[in-house]
Amino acid sequence: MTDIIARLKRERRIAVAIFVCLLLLAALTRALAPSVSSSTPPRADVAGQE
Amino acid sequence: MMERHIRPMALYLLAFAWPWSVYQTEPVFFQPFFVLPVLLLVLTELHARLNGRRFAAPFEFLWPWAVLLGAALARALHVDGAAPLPAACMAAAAFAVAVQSAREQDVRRRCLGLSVLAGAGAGAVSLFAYFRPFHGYVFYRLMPAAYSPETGAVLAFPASVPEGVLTLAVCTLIGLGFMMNPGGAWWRRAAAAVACAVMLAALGTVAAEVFLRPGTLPRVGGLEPASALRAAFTAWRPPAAGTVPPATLVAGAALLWLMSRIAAKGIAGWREQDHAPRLAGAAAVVAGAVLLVLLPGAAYPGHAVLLGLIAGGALPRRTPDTGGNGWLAGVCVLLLPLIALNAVRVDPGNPRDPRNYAVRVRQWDAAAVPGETLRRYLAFIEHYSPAERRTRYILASAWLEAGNLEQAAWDFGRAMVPPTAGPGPLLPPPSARERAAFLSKLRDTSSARPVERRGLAYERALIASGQPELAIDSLRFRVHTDEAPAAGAPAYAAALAYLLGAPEAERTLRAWGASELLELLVQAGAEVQPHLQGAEGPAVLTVRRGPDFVEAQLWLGGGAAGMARRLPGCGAKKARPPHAAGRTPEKGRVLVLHGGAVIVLVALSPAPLVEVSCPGADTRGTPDTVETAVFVYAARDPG
Repeated sequence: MTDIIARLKRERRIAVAIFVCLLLLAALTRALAPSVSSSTPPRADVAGQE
Repeated sequence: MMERHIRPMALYLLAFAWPWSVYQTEPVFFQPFFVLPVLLLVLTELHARLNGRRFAAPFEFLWPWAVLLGAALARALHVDGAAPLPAACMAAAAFAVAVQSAREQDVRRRCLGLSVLAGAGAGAVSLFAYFRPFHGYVFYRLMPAAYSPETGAVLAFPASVPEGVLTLAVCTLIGLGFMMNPGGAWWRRAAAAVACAVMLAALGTVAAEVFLRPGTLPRVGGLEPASALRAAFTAWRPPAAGTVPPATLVAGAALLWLMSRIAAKGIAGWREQDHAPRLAGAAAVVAGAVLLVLLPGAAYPGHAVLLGLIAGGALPRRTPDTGGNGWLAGVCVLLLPLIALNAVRVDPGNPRDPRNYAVRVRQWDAAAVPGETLRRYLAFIEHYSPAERRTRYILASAWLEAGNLEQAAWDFGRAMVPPTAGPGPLLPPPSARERAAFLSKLRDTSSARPVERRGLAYERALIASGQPELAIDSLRFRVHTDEAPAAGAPAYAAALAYLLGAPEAERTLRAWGASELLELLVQAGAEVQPHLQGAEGPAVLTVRRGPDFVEAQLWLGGGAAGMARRLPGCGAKKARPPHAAGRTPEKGRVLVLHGGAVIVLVALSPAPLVEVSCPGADTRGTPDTVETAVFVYAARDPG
């Protein structure tokens, strides 16, 4: 029983560590990368030739 | 019966079908094939509940799963109404049945093996589609489903490049687990090694296109290579947090927590007997989570199957009660005809197939995707399927929308030319109704312009669509009548017929007056120049250049015509004027010099060499569109 509880605690600690790392990665990429929606030029700017 | 045969069979079908993504679409309702085994497994589980067996998935997996489903429902009902709720429900159901069914070790191992096998097959098809080693019918038509116009990356089987990268990456990691499992049979380890090599090679083609391929990066948005590299990379990043709906953020957090929990279970139990597959499963989940953070839109419901299989393996095992049913994995062979059919054929009624470019272009049009992306995408389609006529029709419509009538008529003309040989097109050519609608819009746009800016676009399009009489009538309406034919009519008529794309119309136009024809040439944008030295009568010079050719033609009075030089690959080689090399050019030679203004050298026997310089008809650079310059030379003054 004690082993099971210790293993569950270990699992939770590992899960929290992975989750925090993933959140940090998501925050970093969003902070560093420009917004995709704002970087899309309007269609007429590119397609219009005249 | 259900528990013993149907459940493993459905699970094997599910595990083998999901990596194929677009290629496993059924041809009636255009849904993914794996919907069928998921429904079978849901029925099996309901049957088991009625027999008193409880649901085995733990609460720590269930609550994020419920949050994900709730967030998808919230998005569909309140946020934008466009969230794919059926896809979210399908993913939730696939995850649940995979967790529940994958707790028997043998069944789970076979399922993971089938997923790796299918991933390797999909990777091999991608390699064939990318390198096209054979130009036979099948491989010629092996049209990749996923193409990134920004980076040039290509994958055959997924709906998008990020989705395919995610599928190949997680399947490779699972395959590595099989390969490094010391308890596995040698043939299984060898097969896993081959599968991993194939999938890594397919991933390598994507990486090479994105980061290494020379010639691709500098073209990205016309930026310098370094900027293009950065742009290609940043274009794959997710949108800024402020643009993401709250329900999506909640769903994303729940999904990341669920994946962290599943990976943690695999990592915490790494000392157990089958540690290599467990660690490989955990690594696949972590890698999948990282890729989901980096690549927006990479997830598709099929990935929930693999997540469920890995999650089921991390739970305490259940005693196998399905016995020796390994032969059932053989039913996956039944899927191969469906996969082969989807690999070489696109159903025009299937809106989910990314190769159905007509639907995709409509979506891009609504989303105001840049015209450059559209042109690159259509060029990609034509590269793989040269017989496409609808791509040219779509381009013509886009140019017409943008107000470039000449280019619209040029592309419309290309859309009217039937393919000579080879496999047929992916989508049918434009119908008579579509052609009539295009001509009607072109006529309205053209007539709204002043006469001197109309050009010959409408008449060109009429002739291309097989209505030369209407084109001649339209020209008649545009000029003033001139009863008496005068000198110059033959040269003008021949040049005008050439500009209209209808050499057979020359005979009709010769009966017209010279002033009428000259007026039409001027309306077509011709510049009137002094008389051509060495030529007795009037002359017309046309220089047409496009992305891959330069074509110059000289029309002389009295019916004599110069020769045309069509030079595909403009700029690829340097031509020198013949007189510079001390040679006399043959009669009527027209020469286009690369890298500078067009110079036409005309040797009019017995007159000496004549050199005509054409300002404004510069051949430097390669234009995106077809441009035509026309110069009219007046007749020599008799005095």
